[in-house]
Amino acid sequence: MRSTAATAFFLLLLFSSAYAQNFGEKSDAPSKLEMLEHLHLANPKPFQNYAAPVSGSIRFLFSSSGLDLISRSNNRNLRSFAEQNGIELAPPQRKTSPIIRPRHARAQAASSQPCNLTNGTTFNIESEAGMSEIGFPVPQNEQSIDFAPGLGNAGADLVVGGSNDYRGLFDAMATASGTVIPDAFGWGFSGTGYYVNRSGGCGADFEGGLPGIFDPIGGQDLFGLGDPVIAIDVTRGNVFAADLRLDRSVTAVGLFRTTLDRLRSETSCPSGTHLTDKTGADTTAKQCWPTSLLIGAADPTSPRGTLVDKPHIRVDERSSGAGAGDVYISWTHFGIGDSSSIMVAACTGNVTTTADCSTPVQISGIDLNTQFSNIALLPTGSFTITYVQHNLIFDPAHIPFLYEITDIKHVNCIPRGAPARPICRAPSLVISETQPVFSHITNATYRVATYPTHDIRIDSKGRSEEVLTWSRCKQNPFLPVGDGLFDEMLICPDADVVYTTSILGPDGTVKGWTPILPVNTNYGDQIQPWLVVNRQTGNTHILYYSSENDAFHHRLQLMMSTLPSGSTTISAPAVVLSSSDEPDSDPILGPSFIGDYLGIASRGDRTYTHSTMHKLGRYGGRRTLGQDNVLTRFSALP
Amino acid sequence: MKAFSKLCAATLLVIPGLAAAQTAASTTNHLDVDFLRSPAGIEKGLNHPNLRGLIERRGLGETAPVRANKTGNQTTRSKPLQAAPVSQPCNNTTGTKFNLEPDDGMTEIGFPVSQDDPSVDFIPGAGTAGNDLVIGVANDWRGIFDSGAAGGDPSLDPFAWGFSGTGYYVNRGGGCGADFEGGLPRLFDNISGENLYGLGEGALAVDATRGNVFASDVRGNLNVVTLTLFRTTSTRLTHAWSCPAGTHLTNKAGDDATARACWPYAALIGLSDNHFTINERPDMRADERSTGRGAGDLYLVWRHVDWSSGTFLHSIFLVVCSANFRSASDCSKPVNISSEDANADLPSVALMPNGTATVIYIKDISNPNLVESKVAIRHVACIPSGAPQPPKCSAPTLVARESQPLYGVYARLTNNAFPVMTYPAHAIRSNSDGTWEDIVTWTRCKHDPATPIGTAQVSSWAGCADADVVFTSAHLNAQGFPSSWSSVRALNNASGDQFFPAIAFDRATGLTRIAYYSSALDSAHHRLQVVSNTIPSGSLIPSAPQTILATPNEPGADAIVLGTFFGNRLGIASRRGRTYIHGTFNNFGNYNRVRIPGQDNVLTRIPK
Repeated sequence: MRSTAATAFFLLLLFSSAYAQNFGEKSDAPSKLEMLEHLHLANPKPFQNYAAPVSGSIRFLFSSSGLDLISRSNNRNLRSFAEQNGIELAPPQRKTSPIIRPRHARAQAASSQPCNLTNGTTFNIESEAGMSEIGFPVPQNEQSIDFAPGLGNAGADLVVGGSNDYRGLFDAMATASGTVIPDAFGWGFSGTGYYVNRSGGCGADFEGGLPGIFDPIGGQDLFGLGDPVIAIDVTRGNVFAADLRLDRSVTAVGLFRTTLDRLRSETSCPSGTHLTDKTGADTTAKQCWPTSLLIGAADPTSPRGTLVDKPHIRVDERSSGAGAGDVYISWTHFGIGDSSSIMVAACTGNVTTTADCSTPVQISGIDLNTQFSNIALLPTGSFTITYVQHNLIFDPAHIPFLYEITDIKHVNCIPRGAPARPICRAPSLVISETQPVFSHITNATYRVATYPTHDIRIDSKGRSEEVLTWSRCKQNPFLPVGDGLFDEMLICPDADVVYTTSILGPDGTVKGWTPILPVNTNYGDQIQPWLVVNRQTGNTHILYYSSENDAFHHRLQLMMSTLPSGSTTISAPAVVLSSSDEPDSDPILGPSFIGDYLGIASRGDRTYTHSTMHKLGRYGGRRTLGQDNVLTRFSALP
Repeated sequence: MKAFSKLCAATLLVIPGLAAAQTAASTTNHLDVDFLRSPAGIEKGLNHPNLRGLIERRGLGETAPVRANKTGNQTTRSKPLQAAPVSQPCNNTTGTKFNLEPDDGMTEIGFPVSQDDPSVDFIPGAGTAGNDLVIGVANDWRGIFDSGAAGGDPSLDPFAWGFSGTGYYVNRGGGCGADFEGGLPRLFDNISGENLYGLGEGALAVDATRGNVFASDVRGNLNVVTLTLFRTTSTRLTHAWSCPAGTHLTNKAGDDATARACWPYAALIGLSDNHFTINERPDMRADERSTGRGAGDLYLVWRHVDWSSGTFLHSIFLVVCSANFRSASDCSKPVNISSEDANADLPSVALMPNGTATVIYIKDISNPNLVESKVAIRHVACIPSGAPQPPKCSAPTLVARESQPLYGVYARLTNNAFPVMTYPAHAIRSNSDGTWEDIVTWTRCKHDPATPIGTAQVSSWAGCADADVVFTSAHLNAQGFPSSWSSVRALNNASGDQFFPAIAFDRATGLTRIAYYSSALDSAHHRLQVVSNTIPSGSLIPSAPQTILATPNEPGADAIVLGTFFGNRLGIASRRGRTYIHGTFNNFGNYNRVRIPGQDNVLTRIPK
């Protein structure tokens, strides 16, 4: 609590000193919530007092639209969490007698789908008409990906993707009997999808919702709520996934483990969609992902609005050394004192229970408005975490009078071998970003944030070098209305992707960051960069969306820039998926959310990307666009 | 600082996004000014001297400036009058920008803001040097942002746009650009003791016979709600002294004297201090006959919402005012013409050549206990008595039942985020055999917009994946009573969305033209062109669609309203072989030194 008090005092000083310049003894300085609301940055209830944004999927679910869905839903996780946090919901619509509907015992996988560089290959098996229990296709967004080269069937790669999948939410609205148990032979209630290709090409051979995890306190299964991340330890054949879980009694990261062997097996992980069984249980998903546990579990009502959010994971693929094979999980803990902190835990590679994991370590020090943690590993097994700290500043003497500086922070940690806790240093500042991207860009409606991601490459001298990328606004996004004495707008008319690098010591200690360097600052918006280093080639790839080739700067292409091994000169931007994607056209989400991130994995001579593309589905009997997760693969881009 | 803490309740209604639009659309029946649905609208409204009260009246927030008071010198304003550009030609690609807002925005704001929801009419040859005199109105966010720049100070800044959210735009020198523009002037309300500023939803009508030009919009504050009726003349509008070229800025005292000189006659219509009422969605027509009972009268219809009994009652009201009205005493008392229809909305008025007025509107006939949306389109005929006597109106009769409307929570497309409603428009044509025929057009969904989730035993999802424009017609007798209505026909049911149909009958050519937005040619069915069909005299077979504005417009790119609002309509007027269309196009402006698109009102003419 010492750090909480220290930062609160700092903010008080900040406010009071600035205010005194113009207002003397006036004591009506706006509260944090008031400032957030003024800038339309406030989180939905019950998270409204946090300065850092909650994840996009949570923001949507607790928006008025999302609550409307929850109200109509039989998803007891979401309903009980909302009600326990003081949100009144209408009772779900229920019918007294079950409705008998024809179901497919298992949706079949499409025959092998080739990869393409136009609009990507749909990486799910949802039919154009949607799941039979829903009746229309629903969105998938916010992707993660990893792969094991050549370890699929017949020498194909084994590619594992994760994505928010709204089939879980809509299945909970479609439950014919109105029960809190998923219907038989349906998708189930999981809002986190997994998609696996094991036979070549880019289509999904099988898919499903990450399985439920039983909550002994709440007495119910916790279903996936999105924010998926995937990591593969090719050395040991372990595959990890993580997502969000919550209900009235717990909020946590769901951590899953399976193996490459299991994912290859038609018995453990049959082709097609892993539907619920005749009792509504997610038996197939559970046998495909046999290990599951809750990490960082917290009581969501103590205080109200406590939330474990935005997980990230990385696995140490070294064959030996302290921590080799361990998986590291980071997340944001929104909780006491309206603050948010970054946490990290280490679990053994063969984790089966929480006893195989360390207790969580709070690594964000005195930073109390944190979010968007991201992990990378050094060849030594040390790892680094980046995150952002939001500093909302009200200063009547400044024009604009209300603004934010987003600090990008860096922490290095030394492994001790799970379940021992890693030793993490105090956070250090990478940069104070005075032109962060918030909430949205002016050419679109969906949420965009300054969300830094990073990885570590080896330079020509054999030293580890961290490469860090993020989106920033080309101008100050806080635009005064007129003189700015009374009002301002939050407008980002042009978002760019930039990067910086630093040599690291063996333990991940920063030696010094370069000035901000451009990745892509072309006219138009470049957003949601995700960065990965190919350890075999040494190349650093930065994947992002860009609207630069659309006259209205509205439609998006998937683009990539590469920092070649040993080079400090970034490549010219290359188009990955050439189709110009319309982000507003989705029957469910419209333009409000396309996910917070996208996925890229690069090993050997191959790179896979997993992103969102709007594809045609059948809605209301008409073919119309909607969000799909799509996969593509390339060795070199044209 | 109370306003801060109450903003959350407001933003719950207006979070942008298509899914959010479900919520926004569901409040359609209870919001009087549509652009307030956006977060910026609510938040900026809290600095507007009227909106602050109106927002509190609607339970959306409390009255207080968003910002604490500060002192400081305002930046020196631009020159007293912003000059009009040289004549801008008409075009059929993007349309010609029909306002004079600089690319950098008004000086007192610093960036361009949105214009949408346009209306238009014109008097052929009544401009200067024989040019047409074209008048448009639109929602204009400059009024809202000017109040933001003023920090809630109820006095107007000098040499600024002012607080009016209803813009007028006039071309008198040929081409399609605006020769002058301004905000419809403030009106003082004795009940609240406050000036009332324009809050959009502007309607327009001209009487070419007498040279009268009428405009109306929505006003209100904490204490009153009302519509306005303004009158000016074609002579005045063509006069450089009364209505100088350029932007009609406030004067050095902060007074909107120029706007008032240009629109000298005004009245408050339907003024009410009942806290549980709202007046909105005005539409009007002038009787352009030279003689006869009611000749020259102005008919104004609107929706009146009253929830003082605890139940929302939505009625259609009509007022008729004399041609040369100077005050409300020259107008009839408001008449409820929707009779027992308690869920009436979206009125539109047209006039027969004999002076009889016909009004159409929709009535929500959905069963509230079912997941469904159904509306009935209703028709009322009103025989003039001569203002200020109210006309004698018939009971409403049925035009058509629409089982697949876009209305309430179903007022949304799957390919765009802004609300689209089944908003019927109509015009009365004169056939060569001497008969009169009412042609009614509206938007409907090609499928049931309540898409079942599973078997719909539990829930359904609202959204229209393909909207079409349809029409019907009926011959009218002299009293305006329709014979049987024809079966509903498709005007344009191409793949993609067609919506916001506007209709005009040109007495000189006998052609009826229906213009609308269409996304048919965009592969994502998202970007919009303006398209029209003509219906030849004596025929009910429409022409093939003709592209009016060919450039596909991106409606999702606006710095202020994002993609969440695009107005409720398109403006059209046809006379003497010429048609003007007043639409919305997202033109490029400078925001923080970056050129990005934002909503502009644009004008085009057929033929060019």
